[in-house]
Formats: sequence, C-alpha cells, structure tokens
Amino acid sequence: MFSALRGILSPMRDPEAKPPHGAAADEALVARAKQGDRRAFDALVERHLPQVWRVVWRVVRHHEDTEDVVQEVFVSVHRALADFRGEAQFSTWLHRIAVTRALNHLDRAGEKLRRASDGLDVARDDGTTAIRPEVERAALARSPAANPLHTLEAKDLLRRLAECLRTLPTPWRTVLALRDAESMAYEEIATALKIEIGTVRSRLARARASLKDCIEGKAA
Amino acid sequence: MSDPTREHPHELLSAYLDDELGVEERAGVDRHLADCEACREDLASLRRLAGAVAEEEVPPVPADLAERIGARIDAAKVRPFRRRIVVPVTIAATLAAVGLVVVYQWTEPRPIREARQPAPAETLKQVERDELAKSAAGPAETLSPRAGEPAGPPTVPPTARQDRPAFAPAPAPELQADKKADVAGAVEGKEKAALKSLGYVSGVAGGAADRAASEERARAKDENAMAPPAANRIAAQAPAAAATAKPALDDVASPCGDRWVDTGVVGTWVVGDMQPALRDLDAVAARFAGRGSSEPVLRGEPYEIVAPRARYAELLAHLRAKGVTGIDAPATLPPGDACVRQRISIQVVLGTPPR
Repeated sequence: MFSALRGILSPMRDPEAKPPHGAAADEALVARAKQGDRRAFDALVERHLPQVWRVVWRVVRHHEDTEDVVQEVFVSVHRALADFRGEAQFSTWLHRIAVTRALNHLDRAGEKLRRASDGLDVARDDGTTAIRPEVERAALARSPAANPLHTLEAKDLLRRLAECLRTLPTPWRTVLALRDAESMAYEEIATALKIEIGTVRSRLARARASLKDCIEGKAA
Repeated sequence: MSDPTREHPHELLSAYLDDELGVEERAGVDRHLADCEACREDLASLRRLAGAVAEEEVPPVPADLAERIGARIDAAKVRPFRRRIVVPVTIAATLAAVGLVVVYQWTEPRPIREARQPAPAETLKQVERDELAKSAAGPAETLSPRAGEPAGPPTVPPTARQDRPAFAPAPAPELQADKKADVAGAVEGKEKAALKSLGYVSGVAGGAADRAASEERARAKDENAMAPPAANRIAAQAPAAAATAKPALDDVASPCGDRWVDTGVVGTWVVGDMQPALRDLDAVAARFAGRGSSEPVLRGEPYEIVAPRARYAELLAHLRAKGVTGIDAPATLPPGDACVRQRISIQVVLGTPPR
C-alpha cells in the first residue's frame, strides 16, 4: 500500500524529502493541483479513486452508472478545486461530493422510473402480487423458530444481502453504506447527507430492521 | 424517550450497536438486555448483518477509469472558456430582451390602444364625418349594389347607426390589463428561460441547454459542500426550496420534543398510475395525520405518513381498505406513552393493482 503510494508520488516529490502521507499528502497535492499541476491532480485521483468508487457503487449499485458518477465526481472536483479552502480535509470534501453526486444520479427521472419497475420485476420473478419482502416478513415473524441470520452460511448471507440491498429504499441503503461499509460516525453521515443526526439514527434502525427481515424472509 | 427497560428498544439497539447512544440511554439498554433474551438475539443479528454489509464485495475499479477521468477533465477544459463567454452573453441577451419588452410596453401599446379604443367623443365625430361624407357622395341606403355596379362596402341606415353605439369601446383598463399581462408573461417567460439556462430554475431535463443547466446546478451543490455544515444546509436548501417545499418528516419538531417514539412500519401499494396515487395519499395524510409528503416518493423513497396514536387504528384500516398490503403492525397500539407516533412508510410501486 505504502510502496504503491510512494510509486505514485515519486515523480512529483522532492527526492530528498520523506513522502507525506494521509491528509498531509492530500494537502500538498491539492496545493499543487490548484496551481494547475495536472500530475498532482492525477495523483489525487489515483489515491482516492478506490474509495470514491466503493461509496458510489454502494449507493448506486449499478456498474455503468457508477462509472459515470465517479467520472462526474472527479471532473467536478477538478473544476471546484480552486474554490476549495481547506476548511475540511480533502477526503471529507471529496466524500461529500461523491455521495451528493450518487444521490443526484438516483434522483434523475429515468432512474426513478427504472427503480420503480425494478420493484415490480421482483414481483414477477416471485410470481406473487406481494412484491416487497415486507409481506414475506409478516408471515415469517409469526414463526419463532426461524432465525436464518444465525444459521445462514456466509456465502448465502452475502448473496441474500445483495438482493435485499438492491430493493431497499435509497436513503436507507445510503446510510447503511456510509455507516457499515465506510465506518462513518453518525455526525459525519449527517453532514454528508445534510440531515439531522436523529434522522441518521432512525433511518439506520429502519434500514437494518428492513434488511434483516428481508434476509430472513428470503431464507424461510 | 421511552424507558428501554420496559419496552423492547428496537430502534435503540441499532444505535447501541454503533456506540452512538448517550450514557443514560446506553445504561437503559444494558439493563434491558440483561433481562431480555430476544433483544440479545436481535442485537447479535444486527451485529452479523452490519458485518456482512461491511464485507459485501464491491466490483473492482475498471482498470482504465483513471485514464477516462483524465480524458474527461481534458475535454472539460473548454468549459471555463465557454462559461466565461456564454454566461455573460446570456445575461446580456436576457437584459436586452427585457429592455426591449419594456420599451415595447411603453411605446407599442399606445397606437394599439388608440386604434382599438378611441376616445368616445372623437370617435363619434370621426364616424359622423365619414358618414356625412358618404351620404353626400351617394344614396343614404345602399344595402345592395345596383346591377352593373361593383359591390362596395355595405353601409348602414342612418337611423340604425344612431341607435347603436358607433364603436363600443372596450373598457380601457381591461385592455391595459390584458396588455400588461401579455407583456409580463413574455418578460416572465424570458426571465425564466434565461434563469433556467443559468441553472437557477428547476425543470425537466432535456436538450443541451437543460443538461448544461443541470450540470451547473450539480456543480453549485458540490461547491456548497465546501461550506461548513450549518451554512451548507442553508445554502443547499435555498436553491432547492421549490423541490423541498415541506420539511423532512424527521426534522419536524414533535409536540413531545425529543421524546416521541417512532414505531415505523412499511407497506406496499401497487398502483396503475403514480400521480393520482400520490394525490390520494396526500389527501389521506391531510385527513388523518396532517403530515405526509409526495416529495420523498419522487426521490425514490417510500411515502411516509406520521400519525398521532389517537388516529392510528383508523388510518391503518383506511390504508388496508385502499389496497396497501404488507403492513406488519398490530391493529391498535398498546397503551403507553402518549408520545408514541406511528410512521407508516408506503412503498408506492407501479404495476397492476390486485383486484
């Protein structure tokens, strides 16, 4: 990891100086990129691309759409870099832009329609009119013996998790991604999503309850 | 907050897992967990679930993505030039258009007004002069052309002319109001178009101009992200005021302060047409709870109705009768804290409603 980072930075650093890392490295690269140093910006892309990709994918959950959104994120960061005052860490600022862009993407009309249809498609596959897993969960809740979350093999759990995450409402999926996958604190999530901390808490609770019920319902 | 030692603290368990509870809340949950095996199991499930979410595999970053980003940045380098030129030109064109309309309003309406609504006295004089000239030149009544003569404009008998108003002048204020409305409409339309092109007026995306406006809006949002959180929220809310006319339900202050307990349930409503369904839910929310908003649905979220407990059972029955399925909730709430409110999230799905 560190050697890879050094490899990225080596063409730009002073050969005598120790390579900076973390926020300090970002700060130095941002300062140079703001002066128009394109290689410095490319280095920022290399450093943060995996994390931006991961966050955007977890929100959008569509490969091509994720590619588009990630590109948009870095293009807009490049454009706005001159106005970046460094009041927050570059990674925090970038993270916020990535989440905003991903959510904007899901807001677009075609995307909304497609996702509305996705819900219906699930129903067709199941061959029932009870589309959402909540229906299944109601029946399962009456069976005290069923607790598949404890008995499922890890592979099955992950497969069902992926299916259930896809059907989860976007705001719930987003807080789950930021909390469980990105380990962000509630306050950071609230800042990134521009919502209150209480909203983060209630959304997370409902998201987890819904996800748990969905997995258990599918496992029954 | 209800006492977690008495009720199953389902919502608190999630925050407990994340270590995001205050000292008192955490102690309350600890006490409850000590005596409640079901909640201990629930917590273990949540813990395993959170671990699974964290472990979920994400597709690898495409190998050429960084290069493609670089290419897009190179391609976007023309944008600053375009923005430097296009934006001022658009503003100048807008101002010029508005100026022209204003000049038109002050100059053009005059002859129109005079032509359409001459002053009554002058009009009558002019008409009388015309008619006198005509009567001096020919017979008073020439209702039809004589044989062999070319058909001329029909004239009216003098007696008839005297009985009717020569020109029924349209009331001047009405005409002016109409004209002003036309002009104002034109100005408003042009201003809206111009503002839209600058990204300040929301609209359905379509065409290059809309795409550019959309990009500008997104860019503005990104730049807002640089501001400190509080200012950021205000800045983000201002341009999006039209899109978020109602506050998020979670943000609405409860009469019980922070003590209200949200016992959310989720239902599904399959509808053939989204817009009437949303209007219907708005009406239901207004009737039963006074709070609810279609806006989240347009963002892909469930429709949420927050009901006070007094009307909960009635609302639930109403929704079920309407065809909302999968509501996993008791028919009535158990007696308890008056601050318990029921949040019903309804996933509105396009499809063929079940008969």
